[in-house]
Amino acid sequence: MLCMRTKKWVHIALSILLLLLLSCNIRPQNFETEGYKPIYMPYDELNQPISTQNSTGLKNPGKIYYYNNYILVSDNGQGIHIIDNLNPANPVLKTFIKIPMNKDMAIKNNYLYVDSYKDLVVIDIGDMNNIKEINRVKDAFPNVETENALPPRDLQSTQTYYECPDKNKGIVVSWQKTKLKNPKCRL
Amino acid sequence: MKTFTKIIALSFILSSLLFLNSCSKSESTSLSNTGGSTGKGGSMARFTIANNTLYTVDNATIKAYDITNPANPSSATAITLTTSPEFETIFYYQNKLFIGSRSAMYIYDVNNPLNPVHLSTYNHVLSCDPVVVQGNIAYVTLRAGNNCGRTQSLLDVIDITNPSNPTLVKSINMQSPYGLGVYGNTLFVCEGNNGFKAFDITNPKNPVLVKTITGMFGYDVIPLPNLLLLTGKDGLFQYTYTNPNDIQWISTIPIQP
Repeated sequence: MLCMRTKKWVHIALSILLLLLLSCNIRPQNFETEGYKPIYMPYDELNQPISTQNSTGLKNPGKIYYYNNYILVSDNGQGIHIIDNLNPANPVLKTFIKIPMNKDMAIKNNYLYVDSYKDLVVIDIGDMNNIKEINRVKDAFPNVETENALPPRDLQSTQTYYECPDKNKGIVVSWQKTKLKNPKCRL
Repeated sequence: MKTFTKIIALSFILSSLLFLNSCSKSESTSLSNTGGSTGKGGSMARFTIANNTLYTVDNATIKAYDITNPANPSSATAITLTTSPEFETIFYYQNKLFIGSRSAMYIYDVNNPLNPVHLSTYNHVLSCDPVVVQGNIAYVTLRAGNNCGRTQSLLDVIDITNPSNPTLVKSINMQSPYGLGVYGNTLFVCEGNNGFKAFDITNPKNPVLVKTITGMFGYDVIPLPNLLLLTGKDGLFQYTYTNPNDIQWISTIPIQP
Protein backbone atom coordinates (compact mmCIF):
# COMPACT_ATOMS: atom_id res chain seq x y z
CA MET A 1 0.00 0.00 0.00
CA LEU A 2 2.76 2.37 1.00
CA CYS A 3 4.76 1.31 -2.03
CA MET A 4 1.83 2.03 -4.34
CA ARG A 5 1.51 5.53 -2.93
CA THR A 6 5.22 6.29 -3.45
CA LYS A 7 4.98 5.00 -7.03
CA LYS A 8 2.06 7.31 -7.65
CA TRP A 9 3.99 10.27 -6.35
CA VAL A 10 7.00 9.40 -8.46
CA HIS A 11 4.74 9.27 -11.51
CA ILE A 12 3.24 12.65 -10.74
CA ALA A 13 6.66 14.19 -10.11
CA LEU A 14 8.02 12.75 -13.34
CA SER A 15 5.13 13.99 -15.42
CA ILE A 16 5.42 17.46 -13.92
CA LEU A 17 9.12 17.45 -14.77
CA LEU A 18 8.34 16.27 -18.28
CA LEU A 19 5.73 18.98 -18.73
CA LEU A 20 8.19 21.61 -17.52
CA LEU A 21 10.83 20.37 -19.93
CA LEU A 22 8.33 20.32 -22.79
CA SER A 23 7.12 23.84 -22.07
CA CYS A 24 10.74 24.94 -21.99
CA ASN A 25 11.15 23.57 -25.47
CA ILE A 26 8.04 25.34 -26.74
CA ARG A 27 9.01 28.69 -25.31
CA PRO A 28 12.37 28.98 -23.64
CA GLN A 29 12.59 31.33 -20.70
CA ASN A 30 13.78 34.83 -21.59
CA PHE A 31 12.67 34.37 -25.16
CA GLU A 32 13.48 37.72 -26.77
CA THR A 33 12.27 39.07 -30.11
CA GLU A 34 11.54 42.21 -32.10
CA GLY A 35 7.95 43.30 -31.68
CA TYR A 36 5.54 46.07 -30.78
CA LYS A 37 4.46 47.44 -27.45
CA PRO A 38 1.29 49.52 -27.00
CA ILE A 39 1.51 53.21 -26.10
CA TYR A 40 -1.43 54.10 -23.86
CA MET A 41 -3.48 57.15 -23.05
CA PRO A 42 -4.99 56.77 -19.56
CA TYR A 43 -8.78 57.12 -19.30
CA ASP A 44 -8.67 60.17 -17.01
CA GLU A 45 -6.62 62.03 -19.62
CA LEU A 46 -8.93 60.89 -22.42
CA ASN A 47 -12.12 61.96 -20.66
CA GLN A 48 -11.02 65.46 -19.75
CA PRO A 49 -13.09 68.29 -21.25
CA ILE A 50 -11.22 70.31 -23.85
CA SER A 51 -8.97 73.12 -22.65
CA THR A 52 -6.90 75.88 -24.24
CA GLN A 53 -3.27 76.75 -23.76
CA ASN A 54 -0.64 78.92 -25.40
CA SER A 55 0.53 77.40 -28.64
CA THR A 56 4.01 75.96 -28.40
CA GLY A 57 4.24 75.59 -32.17
CA LEU A 58 3.29 72.98 -34.76
CA LYS A 59 4.55 69.49 -33.98
CA ASN A 60 2.86 67.06 -36.34
CA PRO A 61 0.52 69.07 -38.60
CA GLY A 62 -2.32 67.15 -40.23
CA LYS A 63 -5.68 68.34 -41.48
CA ILE A 64 -6.47 72.00 -42.12
CA TYR A 65 -9.58 74.18 -42.05
CA TYR A 66 -10.05 77.80 -43.09
CA TYR A 67 -12.62 80.07 -41.44
CA ASN A 68 -12.95 83.89 -41.48
CA ASN A 69 -9.21 84.70 -41.71
CA TYR A 70 -8.32 81.94 -39.28
CA ILE A 71 -6.49 78.73 -40.16
CA LEU A 72 -7.06 75.70 -37.98
CA VAL A 73 -4.40 72.99 -38.06
CA SER A 74 -4.92 69.65 -36.38
CA ASP A 75 -1.79 68.49 -34.59
CA ASN A 76 -2.10 64.77 -34.96
CA GLY A 77 -3.97 63.40 -31.96
CA GLN A 78 -3.15 66.31 -29.64
CA GLY A 79 -5.55 69.09 -30.58
CA ILE A 80 -6.01 72.09 -32.86
CA HIS A 81 -3.88 75.19 -33.40
CA ILE A 82 -5.76 78.39 -34.20
CA ILE A 83 -3.75 80.69 -36.44
CA ASP A 84 -4.67 84.33 -37.06
CA ASN A 85 -4.19 84.74 -40.81
CA LEU A 86 -5.40 88.29 -41.32
CA ASN A 87 -2.00 88.91 -42.88
CA PRO A 88 -1.06 85.69 -44.75
CA ALA A 89 2.54 86.88 -45.03
CA ASN A 90 2.73 86.86 -41.25
CA PRO A 91 0.43 84.21 -39.76
CA VAL A 92 0.29 84.23 -35.95
CA LEU A 93 -0.23 81.17 -33.75
CA LYS A 94 -2.95 82.39 -31.41
CA THR A 95 -3.94 79.49 -29.25
CA PHE A 96 -3.99 75.73 -28.97
CA ILE A 97 -7.12 73.75 -28.11
CA LYS A 98 -6.11 70.53 -26.39
CA ILE A 99 -8.38 67.75 -27.68
CA PRO A 100 -7.36 64.15 -26.90
CA MET A 101 -7.28 61.89 -29.98
CA ASN A 102 -8.48 64.60 -32.36
CA LYS A 103 -8.27 64.31 -36.14
CA ASP A 104 -11.12 66.24 -37.75
CA MET A 105 -12.93 69.55 -37.59
CA ALA A 106 -15.58 71.74 -39.23
CA ILE A 107 -17.10 75.11 -38.29
CA LYS A 108 -20.48 76.74 -38.63
CA ASN A 109 -21.41 80.14 -37.15
CA ASN A 110 -18.56 80.09 -34.61
CA TYR A 111 -19.35 76.55 -33.49
CA LEU A 112 -16.43 74.22 -33.99
CA TYR A 113 -17.23 70.50 -34.35
CA VAL A 114 -14.40 68.10 -33.56
CA ASP A 115 -13.86 64.44 -32.82
CA SER A 116 -12.19 63.41 -29.58
CA TYR A 117 -11.73 59.64 -29.68
CA LYS A 118 -15.33 58.31 -29.83
CA ASP A 119 -17.07 61.61 -29.07
CA LEU A 120 -18.31 64.46 -31.23
CA VAL A 121 -17.58 67.69 -29.31
CA VAL A 122 -19.10 71.13 -29.94
CA ILE A 123 -16.82 74.07 -29.06
CA ASP A 124 -17.87 77.73 -28.94
CA ILE A 125 -15.13 79.83 -30.61
CA GLY A 126 -17.22 83.02 -30.77
CA ASP A 127 -14.81 84.62 -28.30
CA MET A 128 -11.29 83.48 -29.17
CA ASN A 129 -10.17 84.44 -25.66
CA ASN A 130 -12.79 82.27 -24.06
CA ILE A 131 -13.01 79.07 -26.10
CA LYS A 132 -15.18 76.51 -24.36
CA GLU A 133 -16.76 73.10 -24.81
CA ILE A 134 -20.53 73.44 -24.84
CA ASN A 135 -21.79 70.04 -25.92
CA ARG A 136 -20.68 66.46 -26.43
CA VAL A 137 -22.30 63.59 -28.35
CA LYS A 138 -20.97 60.46 -26.66
CA ASP A 139 -19.90 57.47 -28.77
CA ALA A 140 -20.51 59.18 -32.10
CA PHE A 141 -17.56 57.25 -33.60
CA PRO A 142 -17.66 53.77 -32.07
CA ASN A 143 -15.39 52.30 -34.76
CA VAL A 144 -12.36 54.27 -33.54
CA GLU A 145 -11.88 51.60 -30.91
CA THR A 146 -10.72 49.09 -33.50
CA GLU A 147 -8.25 51.48 -35.15
CA ASN A 148 -5.22 50.80 -32.97
CA ALA A 149 -6.34 47.44 -31.59
CA LEU A 150 -3.55 45.62 -33.42
CA PRO A 151 0.02 46.63 -34.27
CA PRO A 152 1.12 47.09 -37.88
CA ARG A 153 1.91 43.76 -39.51
CA ASP A 154 5.58 43.16 -40.24
CA LEU A 155 5.62 42.35 -43.93
CA GLN A 156 9.14 40.82 -43.82
CA SER A 157 8.41 38.17 -41.21
CA THR A 158 5.65 35.58 -41.06
CA GLN A 159 4.59 36.54 -37.55
CA THR A 160 4.49 39.83 -35.69
CA TYR A 161 4.89 39.60 -31.91
CA TYR A 162 3.37 42.19 -29.63
CA GLU A 163 2.76 42.89 -25.97
CA CYS A 164 -0.91 42.09 -25.28
CA PRO A 165 -2.73 45.38 -24.53
CA ASP A 166 -3.94 45.86 -20.95
CA LYS A 167 -7.35 47.55 -20.96
CA ASN A 168 -6.80 48.82 -17.42
CA LYS A 169 -3.97 51.06 -18.60
CA GLY A 170 -6.15 53.07 -21.00
CA ILE A 171 -6.65 53.12 -24.75
CA VAL A 172 -3.92 52.22 -27.22
CA VAL A 173 -2.92 55.33 -29.20
CA SER A 174 0.01 53.87 -31.09
CA TRP A 175 2.54 51.02 -31.25
CA GLN A 176 6.25 51.26 -30.67
CA LYS A 177 8.74 48.86 -32.20
CA THR A 178 10.93 47.40 -29.50
CA LYS A 179 12.63 44.27 -28.13
CA LEU A 180 10.11 42.13 -26.26
CA LYS A 181 10.68 39.46 -23.62
CA ASN A 182 8.29 36.50 -23.74
CA PRO A 183 5.50 38.23 -25.70
CA LYS A 184 2.19 36.40 -25.32
CA CYS A 185 0.44 37.89 -28.38
CA ARG A 186 1.23 37.59 -32.05
CA LEU A 187 -0.32 38.24 -35.45
CA MET B 1 -29.41 116.43 -10.66
CA LYS B 2 -27.02 113.50 -10.16
CA THR B 3 -29.81 110.94 -10.48
CA PHE B 4 -31.02 112.69 -13.64
CA THR B 5 -27.59 112.31 -15.32
CA LYS B 6 -27.48 108.73 -14.13
CA ILE B 7 -30.88 108.02 -15.74
CA ILE B 8 -29.79 109.66 -18.98
CA ALA B 9 -26.51 107.72 -19.00
CA LEU B 10 -28.29 104.45 -18.24
CA SER B 11 -30.91 104.93 -20.93
CA PHE B 12 -28.15 105.82 -23.39
CA ILE B 13 -26.31 102.60 -22.52
CA LEU B 14 -29.50 100.58 -22.71
CA SER B 15 -30.53 101.97 -26.08
CA SER B 16 -27.07 101.43 -27.54
CA LEU B 17 -27.14 97.86 -26.26
CA LEU B 18 -30.54 97.36 -27.88
CA PHE B 19 -29.20 98.86 -31.11
CA LEU B 20 -26.21 96.52 -31.07
CA ASN B 21 -28.45 93.59 -30.33
CA SER B 22 -30.77 94.40 -33.25
CA CYS B 23 -27.70 94.65 -35.49
CA SER B 24 -26.41 91.24 -34.57
CA LYS B 25 -29.91 89.84 -34.92
CA SER B 26 -30.35 91.10 -38.45
CA GLU B 27 -26.89 89.76 -39.26
CA SER B 28 -27.69 86.30 -37.99
CA THR B 29 -30.98 86.20 -39.90
CA SER B 30 -29.22 87.11 -43.12
CA LEU B 31 -26.65 84.41 -42.37
CA SER B 32 -29.23 81.75 -41.70
CA ASN B 33 -30.89 82.59 -45.00
CA THR B 34 -27.76 81.50 -46.79
CA GLY B 35 -27.36 78.49 -44.52
CA GLY B 36 -24.95 80.25 -42.17
CA SER B 37 -21.25 80.87 -42.27
CA THR B 38 -19.08 77.81 -42.66
CA GLY B 39 -15.42 77.49 -43.49
CA LYS B 40 -13.52 75.35 -45.97
CA GLY B 41 -11.79 72.09 -45.15
CA GLY B 42 -9.03 70.21 -46.89
CA SER B 43 -9.64 67.16 -49.06
CA MET B 44 -8.49 64.78 -46.30
CA ALA B 45 -11.44 65.81 -44.09
CA ARG B 46 -13.86 63.30 -42.64
CA PHE B 47 -16.22 66.11 -41.55
CA THR B 48 -18.12 68.46 -43.84
CA ILE B 49 -20.94 70.94 -43.34
CA ALA B 50 -23.59 71.70 -45.96
CA ASN B 51 -26.22 74.26 -44.92
CA ASN B 52 -27.74 72.89 -41.73
CA THR B 53 -26.21 69.43 -41.83
CA LEU B 54 -22.93 68.11 -40.47
CA TYR B 55 -21.74 64.96 -42.26
CA THR B 56 -19.12 62.67 -40.76
CA VAL B 57 -17.58 59.44 -41.99
CA ASP B 58 -16.06 56.82 -39.78
CA ASN B 59 -14.71 53.59 -41.27
CA ALA B 60 -18.00 52.09 -42.46
CA THR B 61 -20.55 54.67 -41.27
CA ILE B 62 -21.86 57.93 -42.74
CA LYS B 63 -23.69 60.15 -40.24
CA ALA B 64 -25.82 63.22 -40.89
CA TYR B 65 -26.48 65.56 -37.93
CA ASP B 66 -29.06 68.33 -38.05
CA ILE B 67 -27.27 71.47 -36.78
CA THR B 68 -30.10 73.96 -37.35
CA ASN B 69 -29.44 74.68 -33.70
CA PRO B 70 -25.64 74.62 -34.03
CA ALA B 71 -24.94 74.21 -30.32
CA ASN B 72 -27.00 71.08 -30.22
CA PRO B 73 -26.48 68.53 -33.02
CA SER B 74 -29.58 66.38 -33.16
CA SER B 75 -29.25 62.62 -33.12
CA ALA B 76 -27.83 61.51 -36.41
CA THR B 77 -29.09 59.55 -39.35
CA ALA B 78 -26.58 56.75 -39.77
CA ILE B 79 -25.82 54.66 -42.82
CA THR B 80 -23.57 51.71 -42.14
CA LEU B 81 -22.17 49.64 -44.96
CA THR B 82 -21.70 45.98 -44.19
CA THR B 83 -18.85 45.68 -46.67
CA SER B 84 -16.42 47.65 -44.36
CA PRO B 85 -15.33 49.99 -47.12
CA GLU B 86 -12.92 51.94 -44.84
CA PHE B 87 -14.21 55.43 -45.59
CA GLU B 88 -11.42 57.96 -45.46
CA THR B 89 -12.63 61.31 -46.82
CA ILE B 90 -15.83 63.22 -47.54
CA PHE B 91 -16.44 66.08 -50.00
CA TYR B 92 -19.70 67.96 -50.55
CA TYR B 93 -20.55 69.46 -53.93
CA GLN B 94 -23.94 70.64 -55.21
CA ASN B 95 -26.25 68.40 -53.19
CA LYS B 96 -23.97 65.41 -53.44
CA LEU B 97 -21.49 63.71 -51.16
CA PHE B 98 -18.34 62.20 -52.62
CA ILE B 99 -16.77 59.72 -50.24
CA GLY B 100 -13.28 58.34 -50.73
CA SER B 101 -12.46 54.91 -49.35
CA ARG B 102 -9.80 52.24 -49.65
CA SER B 103 -11.68 50.47 -52.39
CA ALA B 104 -13.98 52.92 -54.15
CA MET B 105 -15.51 56.36 -54.51
CA TYR B 106 -19.12 56.50 -53.29
CA ILE B 107 -21.59 59.13 -54.52
CA TYR B 108 -24.67 59.99 -52.40
CA ASP B 109 -27.52 62.34 -53.23
CA VAL B 110 -28.43 64.69 -50.35
CA ASN B 111 -31.28 66.70 -51.82
CA ASN B 112 -32.99 65.51 -48.67
CA PRO B 113 -30.07 66.49 -46.40
CA LEU B 114 -30.72 64.10 -43.53
CA ASN B 115 -31.38 61.16 -45.81
CA PRO B 116 -28.40 60.46 -48.11
CA VAL B 117 -29.33 58.23 -51.04
CA HIS B 118 -26.68 56.07 -52.66
CA LEU B 119 -26.23 56.86 -56.37
CA SER B 120 -23.15 54.93 -57.37
CA THR B 121 -19.95 53.23 -56.31
CA TYR B 122 -16.95 53.83 -58.53
CA ASN B 123 -15.01 50.64 -57.92
CA HIS B 124 -11.98 51.18 -60.08
CA VAL B 125 -10.11 52.49 -57.15
CA LEU B 126 -8.10 50.25 -54.87
CA SER B 127 -5.87 52.48 -52.82
CA CYS B 128 -5.78 55.38 -50.38
CA ASP B 129 -6.92 58.92 -50.69
CA PRO B 130 -9.36 61.61 -51.47
CA VAL B 131 -11.63 63.17 -54.06
CA VAL B 132 -12.55 66.75 -55.02
CA VAL B 133 -15.15 67.89 -57.52
CA GLN B 134 -15.67 70.87 -59.81
CA GLY B 135 -18.35 71.07 -62.47
CA ASN B 136 -18.90 67.61 -63.93
CA ILE B 137 -15.48 66.27 -63.07
CA ALA B 138 -14.19 64.45 -59.99
CA TYR B 139 -10.44 64.34 -59.37
CA VAL B 140 -9.21 61.41 -57.27
CA THR B 141 -5.68 60.63 -56.15
CA LEU B 142 -4.66 57.00 -55.74
CA ARG B 143 -1.52 56.40 -53.74
CA ALA B 144 0.47 53.23 -54.22
CA GLY B 145 2.60 51.39 -51.71
CA ASN B 146 2.36 50.19 -48.12
CA ASN B 147 -1.23 49.44 -47.20
CA CYS B 148 -2.73 51.07 -50.23
CA GLY B 149 -2.85 47.99 -52.40
CA ARG B 150 -1.57 49.38 -55.69
CA THR B 151 1.68 49.56 -57.56
CA GLN B 152 1.17 52.76 -59.59
CA SER B 153 0.18 56.11 -58.06
CA LEU B 154 -2.37 57.98 -60.14
CA LEU B 155 -4.52 61.06 -60.51
CA ASP B 156 -7.82 59.88 -61.98
CA VAL B 157 -10.13 62.23 -63.87
CA ILE B 158 -13.71 60.96 -63.64
CA ASP B 159 -16.72 62.29 -65.53
CA ILE B 160 -19.72 62.51 -63.19
CA THR B 161 -22.18 64.18 -65.59
CA ASN B 162 -24.34 61.17 -64.81
CA PRO B 163 -23.58 60.64 -61.09
CA SER B 164 -25.20 57.23 -61.22
CA ASN B 165 -22.62 56.14 -63.74
CA PRO B 166 -19.19 57.77 -63.24
CA THR B 167 -16.76 57.12 -66.09
CA LEU B 168 -12.98 57.36 -66.16
CA VAL B 169 -11.73 59.98 -68.62
CA LYS B 170 -8.04 60.02 -67.93
CA SER B 171 -5.33 58.70 -65.58
CA ILE B 172 -2.16 60.64 -64.92
CA ASN B 173 0.91 59.05 -63.28
CA MET B 174 1.90 60.58 -59.96
CA GLN B 175 4.76 60.06 -57.50
CA SER B 176 3.18 59.85 -54.02
CA PRO B 177 -0.09 61.79 -54.05
CA TYR B 178 -2.03 62.82 -50.91
CA GLY B 179 -4.61 65.62 -50.65
CA LEU B 180 -5.75 67.81 -53.51
CA GLY B 181 -7.76 70.95 -54.14
CA VAL B 182 -9.33 72.76 -57.04
CA TYR B 183 -10.10 76.43 -57.63
CA GLY B 184 -10.96 78.01 -60.96
CA ASN B 185 -8.53 76.78 -63.57
CA THR B 186 -5.99 75.38 -61.12
CA LEU B 187 -5.79 71.92 -59.61
CA PHE B 188 -3.27 71.44 -56.79
CA VAL B 189 -2.11 67.92 -55.90
CA CYS B 190 0.08 67.15 -52.87
CA GLU B 191 2.93 64.74 -53.56
CA GLY B 192 4.14 63.84 -50.06
CA ASN B 193 7.95 64.01 -49.94
CA ASN B 194 7.88 65.40 -53.46
CA GLY B 195 6.13 68.67 -52.56
CA PHE B 196 3.10 69.55 -54.68
CA LYS B 197 2.05 69.99 -58.30
CA ALA B 198 -0.16 72.53 -60.04
CA PHE B 199 -2.21 71.53 -63.08
CA ASP B 200 -3.95 73.78 -65.58
CA ILE B 201 -7.53 72.54 -65.94
CA THR B 202 -8.79 75.06 -68.49
CA ASN B 203 -9.99 71.87 -70.12
CA PRO B 204 -11.31 70.14 -66.98
CA LYS B 205 -11.05 66.69 -68.58
CA ASN B 206 -7.39 67.15 -69.44
CA PRO B 207 -5.27 68.48 -66.57
CA VAL B 208 -1.90 69.74 -67.83
CA LEU B 209 1.02 69.77 -65.40
CA VAL B 210 2.59 73.23 -65.36
CA LYS B 211 4.45 73.55 -62.08
CA THR B 212 6.11 71.34 -59.47
CA ILE B 213 7.16 72.88 -56.18
CA THR B 214 9.42 70.82 -53.91
CA GLY B 215 11.24 71.28 -50.62
CA MET B 216 8.46 70.31 -48.24
CA PHE B 217 6.15 67.40 -47.48
CA GLY B 218 2.76 68.04 -49.10
CA TYR B 219 -0.12 66.40 -47.21
CA ASP B 220 -3.19 68.55 -47.83
CA VAL B 221 -4.17 71.84 -49.44
CA ILE B 222 -6.94 74.42 -49.34
CA PRO B 223 -7.04 76.69 -52.40
CA LEU B 224 -8.79 79.98 -51.58
CA PRO B 225 -9.20 82.87 -54.03
CA ASN B 226 -5.54 83.84 -54.72
CA LEU B 227 -4.27 82.09 -51.58
CA LEU B 228 -3.08 78.50 -51.23
CA LEU B 229 -2.71 76.84 -47.80
CA LEU B 230 -0.60 73.68 -47.58
CA THR B 231 0.20 71.46 -44.59
CA GLY B 232 2.47 68.53 -44.07
CA LYS B 233 5.11 67.16 -41.74
CA ASP B 234 7.25 70.28 -42.24
CA GLY B 235 4.68 72.91 -41.28
CA LEU B 236 2.10 75.27 -42.75
CA PHE B 237 3.02 76.92 -46.06
CA GLN B 238 1.19 79.73 -47.87
CA TYR B 239 1.38 80.86 -51.47
CA THR B 240 -0.36 83.48 -53.55
CA TYR B 241 -1.40 82.46 -57.04
CA THR B 242 -3.36 83.80 -59.96
CA ASN B 243 -2.95 80.79 -62.24
CA PRO B 244 -1.01 77.51 -62.14
CA ASN B 245 2.02 79.19 -63.72
CA ASP B 246 2.22 81.98 -61.20
CA ILE B 247 2.63 80.65 -57.65
CA GLN B 248 4.54 82.74 -55.13
CA TRP B 249 5.61 81.59 -51.66
CA ILE B 250 4.67 84.10 -48.95
CA SER B 251 5.04 82.46 -45.53
CA THR B 252 5.84 79.35 -43.51
CA ILE B 253 5.13 78.29 -39.96
CA PRO B 254 7.74 75.56 -39.51
CA ILE B 255 7.34 72.70 -37.07
CA GLN B 256 8.94 72.95 -33.64
CA PRO B 257 11.21 70.07 -32.64
